[in-house]
Amino acid sequence: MGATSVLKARPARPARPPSPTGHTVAKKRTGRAPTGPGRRRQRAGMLMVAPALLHASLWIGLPVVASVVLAFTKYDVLTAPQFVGLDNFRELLGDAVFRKSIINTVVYTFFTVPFGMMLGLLVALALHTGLKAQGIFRTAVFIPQVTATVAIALVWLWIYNPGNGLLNALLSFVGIDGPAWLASTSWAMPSVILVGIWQGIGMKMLIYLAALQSLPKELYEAASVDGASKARQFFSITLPLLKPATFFVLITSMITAFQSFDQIYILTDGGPANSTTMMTYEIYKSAFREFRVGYACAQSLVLFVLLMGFTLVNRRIMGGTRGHN
Amino acid sequence: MELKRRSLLAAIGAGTAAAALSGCGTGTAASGSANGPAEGEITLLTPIFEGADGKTLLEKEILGGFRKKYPDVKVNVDYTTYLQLNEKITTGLAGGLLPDVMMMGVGWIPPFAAKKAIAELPEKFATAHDYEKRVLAPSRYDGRLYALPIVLDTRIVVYRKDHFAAAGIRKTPANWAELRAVAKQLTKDGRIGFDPFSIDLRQCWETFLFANGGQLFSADGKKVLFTDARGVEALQFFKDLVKDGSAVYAKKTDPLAPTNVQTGKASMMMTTSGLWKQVGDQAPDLIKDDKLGAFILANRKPAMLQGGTLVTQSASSKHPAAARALVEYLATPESILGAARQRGSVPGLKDLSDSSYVKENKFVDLSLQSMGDACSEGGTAAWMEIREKIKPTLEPAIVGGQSAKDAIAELGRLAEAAIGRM
Amino acid sequence: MATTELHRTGIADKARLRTKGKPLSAGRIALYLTLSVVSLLMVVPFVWMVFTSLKTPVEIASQDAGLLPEHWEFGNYFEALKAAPFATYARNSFVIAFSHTLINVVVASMAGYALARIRFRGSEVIFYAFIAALVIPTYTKVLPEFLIVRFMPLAGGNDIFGQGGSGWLDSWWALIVPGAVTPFAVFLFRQFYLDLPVELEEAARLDGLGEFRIYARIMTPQVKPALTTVALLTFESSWNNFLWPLLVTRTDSLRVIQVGLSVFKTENGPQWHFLMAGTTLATLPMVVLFLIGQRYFVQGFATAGLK
Repeated sequence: MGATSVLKARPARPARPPSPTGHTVAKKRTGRAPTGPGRRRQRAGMLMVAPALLHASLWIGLPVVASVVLAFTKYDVLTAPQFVGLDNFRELLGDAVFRKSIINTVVYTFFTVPFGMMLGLLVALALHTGLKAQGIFRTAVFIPQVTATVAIALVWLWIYNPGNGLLNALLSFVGIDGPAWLASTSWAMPSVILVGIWQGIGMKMLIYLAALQSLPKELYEAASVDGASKARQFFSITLPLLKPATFFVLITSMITAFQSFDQIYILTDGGPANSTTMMTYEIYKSAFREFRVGYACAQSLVLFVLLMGFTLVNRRIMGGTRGHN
Repeated sequence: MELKRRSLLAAIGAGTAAAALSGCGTGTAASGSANGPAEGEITLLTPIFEGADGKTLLEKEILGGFRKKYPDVKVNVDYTTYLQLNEKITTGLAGGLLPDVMMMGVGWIPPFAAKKAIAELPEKFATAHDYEKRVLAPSRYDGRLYALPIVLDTRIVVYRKDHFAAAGIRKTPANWAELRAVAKQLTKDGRIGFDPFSIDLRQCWETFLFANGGQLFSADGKKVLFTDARGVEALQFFKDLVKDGSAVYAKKTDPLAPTNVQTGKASMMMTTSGLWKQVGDQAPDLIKDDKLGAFILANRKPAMLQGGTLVTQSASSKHPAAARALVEYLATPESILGAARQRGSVPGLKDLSDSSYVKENKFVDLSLQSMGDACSEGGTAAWMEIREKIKPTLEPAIVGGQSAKDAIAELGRLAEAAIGRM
Repeated sequence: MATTELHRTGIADKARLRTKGKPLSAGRIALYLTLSVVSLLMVVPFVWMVFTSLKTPVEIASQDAGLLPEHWEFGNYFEALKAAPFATYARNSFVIAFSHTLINVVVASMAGYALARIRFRGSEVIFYAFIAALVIPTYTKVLPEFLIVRFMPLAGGNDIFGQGGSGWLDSWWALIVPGAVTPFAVFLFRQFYLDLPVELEEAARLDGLGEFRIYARIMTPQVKPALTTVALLTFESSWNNFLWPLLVTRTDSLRVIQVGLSVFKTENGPQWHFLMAGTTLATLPMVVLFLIGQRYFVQGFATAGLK
């Protein structure tokens, strides 16, 4: 195993200066297989990742392979798949609605993710300070995550109702005649984005909260002794140390945003006039309402490539997550 | 090692594809004879008979009676919701495990029959009960019978008698010119005269298309016919109403909210025959005070869109005789009446027009009397695809600035492409 | 990496005001007020759901009814529970959610640990594979997943080629196995293990502990917040899953709570009072679970002991 492998320096060290001893595999090795304990570690690592990997290969990998194959077929589930070459992709190029759904998805993601993350972090910081009743606050912020989608949608539909809705009632106080929110082609998307941000805060807060609890307190004590202000501590200690968590929240939020389905399904059904339709919604419609599984797989492939592209770009921008060296 | 893993994955992938293929193979091959004795264990997939009442009705009363008649058949019921019916059927088809007996919506029969996923039924079923001739049209494909109706739902215009009386309007509009005038007259103080948008835009436009003497497709389902002037006029009529201010897209009824005609926010609205029961549950006073009336939309001709739930038999059932017996039994007047009563729907049999349920439910009564004016959507094997395009393609004409002509032309192009792919 | 040596530049003070709130009472009060408003915005739909579950259909449909029910119709709950065997559904949901949580926490933490702390051949590729797995939308996977379940060899009457029977359909296997491990959890664990200092594992290694023991005894106790997070999120999403259990089951005795609740979503006007009553009952355990679970965040790094 791995006779020609080049093992890169193993980073994995936040916060503290690298220990002089380092890792057994932390040194660059070329041309020679790791021996002794290093090799045992490698084998242990493989064994430990194996169950999850096997599970994912079967239940996700295999479906992906099948989807990629089906993307080049015409498959209506009633008759056997028929190889059609690039037909599905050619049709995709001319599909104005799918193009619209890509733009909508990107816009939605672009607005929900950064704002959601900022708010999630702020709330997490506030609920990390040992306030009285912070458990109640935490639960309250998390509640949209567990509330039934139908209840959420119905309440937001009422908030956005142009006639007797809450939002326009509030706006009328300050003399603004509110728009028809979800029924307007220009306001439907912002309305959906607001719901997306609102609903996502709980999850982001939860991850940040868990990450904040894992931060070593010694650093803050040392910083306090040095006379650093809380703000300085936040920017110099907290934020850098939260990098792995931030990377996680960023990637998963982006994926969640790209795949948002439920609120669109109930709030707008993709309308009006396709102004809120999203890629997953189009995939769903192709596969399960129109019985065009091959075409849906081609659409999925586009989504997959886009999302992986964004993920890699993000990783590049974040400079990796393996600590700081 | 890496390589091996990859080739293993590829092999597994090919295996699944093959499995999918053979699954479909078995899905279309019928086994056993439908003429043998009815016996065996079969599955019934149903999106209706929901709730405690529905379940008792189906399992105790209807299937109880069925068991007495066919003691050798065991029926397993698989409940789903209408929203997830497609997912259930899609996965069942792909896996080659379609339920023996299925209930599905109007418009689904041609695509499934064209692909031989559902079995043809004997013609004698069509004459076993006193069906209104129209009622069986959506059950047929290529002239042959594939399904039987359980319950029907119709699209009618419901209006407020008190609003009409206050405005001195004596008779319901008989054509669009009258409808538009009356709607304008009734629009005042934040109230809209006519609300066509609270039902699905697809079904609403279809009703208007049919009332305008138009058609969706040619009889063989290969040609698009709605792109003529009649289809454009139907869409243009909505635009005219919006221009008058007597219809407002943004004021359509929210899902939870009581309908606009119920609350008095609209004087007339396009709605379904099921509204009677809903109002009975939510605002019984409206019925007691006789404030709600209904009429059939008309322009060049009267037209009532008829949807509903049909029962059909899988072509791949292992116990076709038992499945066919269940289809037949579910379509008997007793079963139908119970289902209709539970849902507030229309039982599609003339035999039942004198039943107390129909007499008490004014919207159902009107629907049953007007069955001669009923029209249905679908009629092409590409329907599943086209039906999804209608609403989003027509919406820009109503909420955006697009002309009715352009929207209809665009829809025509999409529909032709879909038919071309069949 | 400079962490204790703090540069002095004049960056925004507002972060401090908003987040770290000095023990100034005015700041605290502002913080409490802000949090209360935020919390209120978050719980509105939940509260609305509870109140709606206590109304009559007539009141729900009435325009001028207030948020609070006029008469508290607790009977809705009894009626709703009578509509279907909800005790069975709840038990099924619990069994599935509990199994998912247990399996996910164990298997995903192991994988996350290996990916974060051990550099082995292909580990980077495997990490990206898990991220890629995360990217696949539900509606893309669901049909192939269904086919795998249905053609599972030697199960449910299937032969070795997966033909002849119905595989895992309508069985506990189908309900539990496909969703048991999530790439989300693997990714999350990896990110949390990344943060731990190397000294911990090195000390253990010097003591002669094997890699598995280092994972189980030394490192994992340090990521308790991550364990809690994964457990909470897994349980919650498993409990709320609707589409998959609906697709792979047929018999009533295997149906889960969310599928059971759909009996109230009738086509011709849902039975809102029952739907909301049932949904409230299904949501409360999740809220309680979170209320209890979030307390375990506090214990995080307290015992790190890496002096």
